[in-house]
Amino acid sequence: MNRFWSLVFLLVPVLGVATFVVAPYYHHWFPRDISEHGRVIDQLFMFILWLTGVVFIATEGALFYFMWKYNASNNREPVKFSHGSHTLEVVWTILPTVTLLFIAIYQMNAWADAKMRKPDVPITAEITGRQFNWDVRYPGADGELYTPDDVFRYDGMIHLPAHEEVLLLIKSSDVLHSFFLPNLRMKQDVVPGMGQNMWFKAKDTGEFDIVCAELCGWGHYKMKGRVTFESRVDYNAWLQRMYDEQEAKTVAMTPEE
Amino acid sequence: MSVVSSPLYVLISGGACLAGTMPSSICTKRWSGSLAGVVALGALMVAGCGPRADFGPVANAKAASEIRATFGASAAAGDAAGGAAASTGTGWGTIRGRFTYDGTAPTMPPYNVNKDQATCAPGGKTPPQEWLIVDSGTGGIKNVAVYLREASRVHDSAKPSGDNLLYDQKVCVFLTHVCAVTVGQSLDIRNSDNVGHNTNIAGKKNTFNQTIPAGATIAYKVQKEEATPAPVNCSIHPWMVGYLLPRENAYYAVSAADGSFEIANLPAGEKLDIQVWHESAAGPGGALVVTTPEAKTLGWTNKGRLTITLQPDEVKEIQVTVPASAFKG
Amino acid sequence: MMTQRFHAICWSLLAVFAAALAGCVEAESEPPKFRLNMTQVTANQLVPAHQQAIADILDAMFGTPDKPFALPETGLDLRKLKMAAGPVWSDQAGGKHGLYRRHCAHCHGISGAGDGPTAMIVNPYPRDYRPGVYKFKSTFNPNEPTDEDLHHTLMDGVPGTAMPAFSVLPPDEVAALLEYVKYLSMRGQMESLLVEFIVNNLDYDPVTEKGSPLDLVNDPDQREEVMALLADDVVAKWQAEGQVVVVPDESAIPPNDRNAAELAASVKAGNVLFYGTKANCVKCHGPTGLGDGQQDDYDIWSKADRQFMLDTDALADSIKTDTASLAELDGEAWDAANAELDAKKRALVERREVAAGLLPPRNAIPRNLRTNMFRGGRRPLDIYRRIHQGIAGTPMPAGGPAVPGAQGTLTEQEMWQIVDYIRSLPFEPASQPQERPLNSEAVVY
Repeated sequence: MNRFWSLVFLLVPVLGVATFVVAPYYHHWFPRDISEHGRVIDQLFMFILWLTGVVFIATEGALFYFMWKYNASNNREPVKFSHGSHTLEVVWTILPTVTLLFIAIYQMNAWADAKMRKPDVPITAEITGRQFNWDVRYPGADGELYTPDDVFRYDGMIHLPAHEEVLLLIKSSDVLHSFFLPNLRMKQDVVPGMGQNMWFKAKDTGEFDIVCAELCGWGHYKMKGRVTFESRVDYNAWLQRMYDEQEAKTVAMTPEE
Repeated sequence: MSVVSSPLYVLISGGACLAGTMPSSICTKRWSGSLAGVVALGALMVAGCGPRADFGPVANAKAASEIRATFGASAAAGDAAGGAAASTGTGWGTIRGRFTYDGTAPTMPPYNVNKDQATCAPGGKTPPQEWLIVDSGTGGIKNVAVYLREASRVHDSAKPSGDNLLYDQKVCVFLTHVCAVTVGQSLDIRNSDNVGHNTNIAGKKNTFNQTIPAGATIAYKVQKEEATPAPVNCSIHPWMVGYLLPRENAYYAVSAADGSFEIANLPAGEKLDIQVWHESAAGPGGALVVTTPEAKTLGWTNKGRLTITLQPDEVKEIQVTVPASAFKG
Repeated sequence: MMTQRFHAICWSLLAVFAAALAGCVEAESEPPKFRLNMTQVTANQLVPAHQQAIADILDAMFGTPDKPFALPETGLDLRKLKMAAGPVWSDQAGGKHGLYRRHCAHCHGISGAGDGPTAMIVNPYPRDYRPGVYKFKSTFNPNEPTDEDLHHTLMDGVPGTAMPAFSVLPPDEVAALLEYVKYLSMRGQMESLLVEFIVNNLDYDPVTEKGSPLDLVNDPDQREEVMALLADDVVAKWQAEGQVVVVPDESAIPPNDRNAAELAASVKAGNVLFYGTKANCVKCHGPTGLGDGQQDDYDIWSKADRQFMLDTDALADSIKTDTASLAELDGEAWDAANAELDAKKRALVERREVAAGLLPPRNAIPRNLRTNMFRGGRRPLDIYRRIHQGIAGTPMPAGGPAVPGAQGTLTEQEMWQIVDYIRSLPFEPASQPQERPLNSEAVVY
């Protein structure tokens, strides 16, 4: 009983580690990665997780050990204070600095790939966040945005070509939003008045989630959508179909819904 | 502003005192104020949650379930009663009369013309508004609509007319300010101005909103009877306002400039339920409610209705003096 | 001493928050109820007994927000309504319940009056379903929208407004919400008809608050009349037979393979119409097309509230005048005038309470045609229908015939020319650049 508190505090590392070990078995782990660069992001995540995990366990272990050993009921001797150790100070300053520097340099390439080395391809789609929807504008057959053959979609169901570099232009029409594609390990904040780019290459086709990752108002939770990756041929056909639908002048062409 | 800001200020200064960031001499003076501020803020919060607006009654579940239980029984029970008022009398009678204003005639301000001045205010002369036109000489009230609510039989002269009725607008004013029309009669909506108009009829049963080009005439047939005149507007010139009263039969009259009206050939020998309406009347839906003793003798109700029985070939004279309080404002 | 003060402050704060919380919790723990359109009821001076009767009849016909009901003659699918109604919860299989309150009620309100808690902070205001008037539809102006029209709005949202797309919901949930929106519209329309029925057919005195009863249980004639109103003036409007869809005349539709010169000629003709006195677009959409012309009109939803507020102000003014003139009277005349004044004062209090629950009316601002944003859809067909029938509930007038076969203002060809012009406006040099340049390039703000 007199060591109750040290045991309680031991629960922190035990439960903390258990959560991470068990989570994948309950599907509370990463969504499927379908991007080319996602592997690097996941590796970075795992590396940092292991590094911080080891430090966490070691620190918590030390904490437990001292609480256990110097429990008030078993230790009647007066406390002795040490007035600092120069060597220790140097060690615990340099060690984290080196670690952080290592992480900073180690991830630099991944950062540059995701945020700085914009591919030299035309914009695939312009995505505008508005409270509370993602509006999409595709360049039409001419491949250029802001021309009369652009295709507009407001239903939050974005289509994109797979197996090729995709360059998105992301904007906001009102407040801060964040365009998040969990399966592509991509997340980009959008600031009103600024255009942001996002690029990636999807390895697989299929339908995946889009969410808003920046609290943008009371309807934030509504800002979800789906992104469909399909082959270039399918994508072109879909875009043409959407264009034809957008050009409908007769009732017969109205898609039956 | 001050109501909201003072407790906020006091709360903030109180918080600063607690945190020890303000000199204690200021704090001691402010303590009593802070407490008052906290209480005031709390009162505001409570008030914010409480209902301030009137949202009306909610349904009584028991009464509702009793009503619901009867819905299936409708068809069996209802046959005995006839639909429209049964025809009992014979012959025809006439009502005529005059509405006069009790008080000094109000002056109508000019319409708020804020565009197309050349057309709508020619020579800088803006036409006056028409929400209550009282003849300065006779005191007659113009544009009072008088109409029979339900007719058991209809004289040939009051049958829906096949003639087209002109509904003209000039100098950005609807020339027939209150216009009655029979259902199915074709309304020739004309624009006699050199600017475009649109005529927006916003009735409960009839809606129409179409552009009327300069100098053009567009035909429109009202589809259904309205219980009270429908407002007519022009969205382009929002000061333009008129009223259109579609009725199943022509038992209606709109009072002339001297306040006089006449409805001829009404069915005699039976109770006639007559509605009196004016756009500025204070009664519900524009009903002209008159509570003077002479009106009481006509059985004038608080919905602006009177019940009259005519003898065959009778011409009934109705003289109504309307007090100023029967109108809004 | 400081600690004592500190404790005192803490306790008073705690007490205040507890009181505030109690106020809120008490107000919210009751299940939500349908409310009457108080503007309508008060403007028509209905007595409390009649207000209660309307609430009861609507409950009998349509049930409550937690327990919806639909008479078979309404054609509404009760299974769908039940899915959409009620409190928000999820069953163990992941089935979603209370869809309307989950997705819609915070803007559109429990009664569908467009008065939910977040209604105030969105512009335009959310739609009030109760009159059954919808702006973006394929039918003629006075007709109710088709199911497809409502479905389209649910699936695509309304660009340029706070109405999002609900395309991620499973189709059965979308269908349930659609049914519920129609249900709220029918309920609202029935409410208006009952108010009209009372005003037209029943006697009542707002001063003594007495009236001949609206009693469907004991009066089969009344019951039959009310059921006829439901069938003829509500349900029929929502059935396909009652809805006439605007179908462009095949012969006038411009072909898809027009060359640049033909298109330019059509755009030019549309431009002339836009500025001319025939179509008159320029008056509201402005000489620049920025929607900066006529801006001080209102749509029907705001107009009703605004009229109510204006009448309330007029009543307040007349009370002032009457009070002043009371001094000149004496004896019986004074008694009568004073009684009338008291009645007016009571009415004013009542009206002010109702007005306190209304959203401030906003002007109907004509669309800026240069932003390439079309709320009702950007297909030529959509824009054609907007020009052909105007936009129901708004000042936007029709260019085509009011009913099929009637006389229109514009010919089919002229309407298509305006469509071409409208669609070319965002790409005119004056509208460029459509989007501001990227921050990564040369930026000139």
